[in-house]
Amino acid sequence: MLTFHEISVRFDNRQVLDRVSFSLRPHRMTVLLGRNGSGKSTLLRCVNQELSYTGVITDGEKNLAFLSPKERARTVAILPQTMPVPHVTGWEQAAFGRNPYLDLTGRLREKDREAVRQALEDADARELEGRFVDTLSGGERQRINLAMILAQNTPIVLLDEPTAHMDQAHEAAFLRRLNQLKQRRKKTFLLILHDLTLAAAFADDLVVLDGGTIRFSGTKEECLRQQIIENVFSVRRYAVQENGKTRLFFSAAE
Amino acid sequence: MKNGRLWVWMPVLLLISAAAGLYFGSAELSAADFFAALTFRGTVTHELILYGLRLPRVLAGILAGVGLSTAGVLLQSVTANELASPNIIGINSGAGLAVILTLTLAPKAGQILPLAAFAGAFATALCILAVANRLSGSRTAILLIGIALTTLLNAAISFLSLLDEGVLAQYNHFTVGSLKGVRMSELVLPAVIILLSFSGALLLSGRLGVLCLGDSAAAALGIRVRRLRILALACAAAGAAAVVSYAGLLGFVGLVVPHIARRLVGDRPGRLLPAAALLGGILVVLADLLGRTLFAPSELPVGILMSLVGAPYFLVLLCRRRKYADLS
Repeated sequence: MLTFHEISVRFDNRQVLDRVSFSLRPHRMTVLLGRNGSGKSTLLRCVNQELSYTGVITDGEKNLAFLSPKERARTVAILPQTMPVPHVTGWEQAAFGRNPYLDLTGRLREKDREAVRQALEDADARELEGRFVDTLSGGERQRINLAMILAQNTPIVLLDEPTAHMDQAHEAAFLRRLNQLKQRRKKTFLLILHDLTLAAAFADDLVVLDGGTIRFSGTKEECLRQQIIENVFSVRRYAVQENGKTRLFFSAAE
Repeated sequence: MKNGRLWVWMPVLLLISAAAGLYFGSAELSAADFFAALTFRGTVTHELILYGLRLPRVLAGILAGVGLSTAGVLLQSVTANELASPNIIGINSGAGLAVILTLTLAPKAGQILPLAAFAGAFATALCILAVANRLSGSRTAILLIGIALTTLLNAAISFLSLLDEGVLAQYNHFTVGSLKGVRMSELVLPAVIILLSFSGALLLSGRLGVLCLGDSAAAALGIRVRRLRILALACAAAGAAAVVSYAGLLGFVGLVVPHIARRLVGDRPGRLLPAAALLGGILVVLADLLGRTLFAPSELPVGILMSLVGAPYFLVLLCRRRKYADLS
């Protein structure tokens, strides 16, 4: 399973990440939290081998830095925070997810087409496959993006703020879909989220980064018990009882 | 697929343009003479006109269209900039400097000008590659390095052209771009290079398509982004340099044709490349045909005609896109 061992990154003279270590637990949704500039996206860029870092990122015995880009893309799928919006159809973009499995000619085989169909189904995006991505709404586009990284067929999926620009109903629907996939497709998710309330509602595990160092890594329940979120983000927690369940909300302290 | 018919009519149009290019010219051939010459049963003069003069021109036009359009699509894909083309990133200026340098140093060595142009264009591309490789190899880096090199090379060209008026006149002829007097034997090497460049581009097209998602997403999908950019740039430079070596600086083909093709078949390089190649061939052959028939027996160089037609069309295209952008 994906493990970060003592990851450090320096930009110019600034220590962006400082000996960050934690592991993702299989088939769980881990949410990475942190204030702006705490190094969350930098950590994902390390997994994508986009920048130099010290430390080791492993999947089981395999060091990600020593894998070829295609091998890495068959192990971990990453959805960056921002992407240009291409003028391609939903199907074509979802099919980009098969790139790690294609030979030099780049031709999709039946097996790849089946994987794309399945991914579109899993992302609830079958009806969008014929439409041009640049004509879709933000929420629809994100379903196609999800289909693309599901088509990669990796056990581990990392998403950088996948619900940014979505309204609350779409946010919740998107995260519920990930939860279903976690169980049905045995996926392990690592999400970066800004919304603490959503994180508290959907995460199984939480990792809290603060100023480039790990403040907490463990189960959501333990994180809440230790009041880490309140301390790091200077927020207050409110609990509401609804249908016998407790729902948590966070709001900035006065 | 709604544009499935395009793949029928584009090759047909290319064949019709090529046939028109062979049939029409400053010397008028009757249909009977034309078919007789075509089947090697005509007079020596007619066969010479057809196979010695017009066929090389038509082939040169098709090759120029394919080479420059391929280069344009590749450069626009790797820089994610629709304004990228061989003349923007310095490949044409490199060829220009090599030509003017040859004219200055060895005024009588006219026959080596195509070779010099190729060497200059390719050397410039290698410079861009070398500097881009030292930097991040990013889309902006390639474009900026190209623009900086263009400025430098153009300054050198201006300096050399000030030294000798005779050189300037010959250089101007080269910069206009023309297919006049092209011989079959001159086309063999450029044809091989252009076809290799096109095949290489097709082979890269699947991975180039993924680049439209940006560098991070492409890397996450298993693309070696920097290596892909450099390979695509090398293919583009080889194709453009091969065209420059026999046709001079044909402006606008590399810029405009990918735009038109994109409107017809969309952004995916796998479809865009063959469409742009076919359209490029059609446009250059037709422009050359117009150039040599409009004011026959005088000729208007294909480069001038391409710019005269291409520039207004490009402006119309931009205005239309602006309108769509305003609407959305």
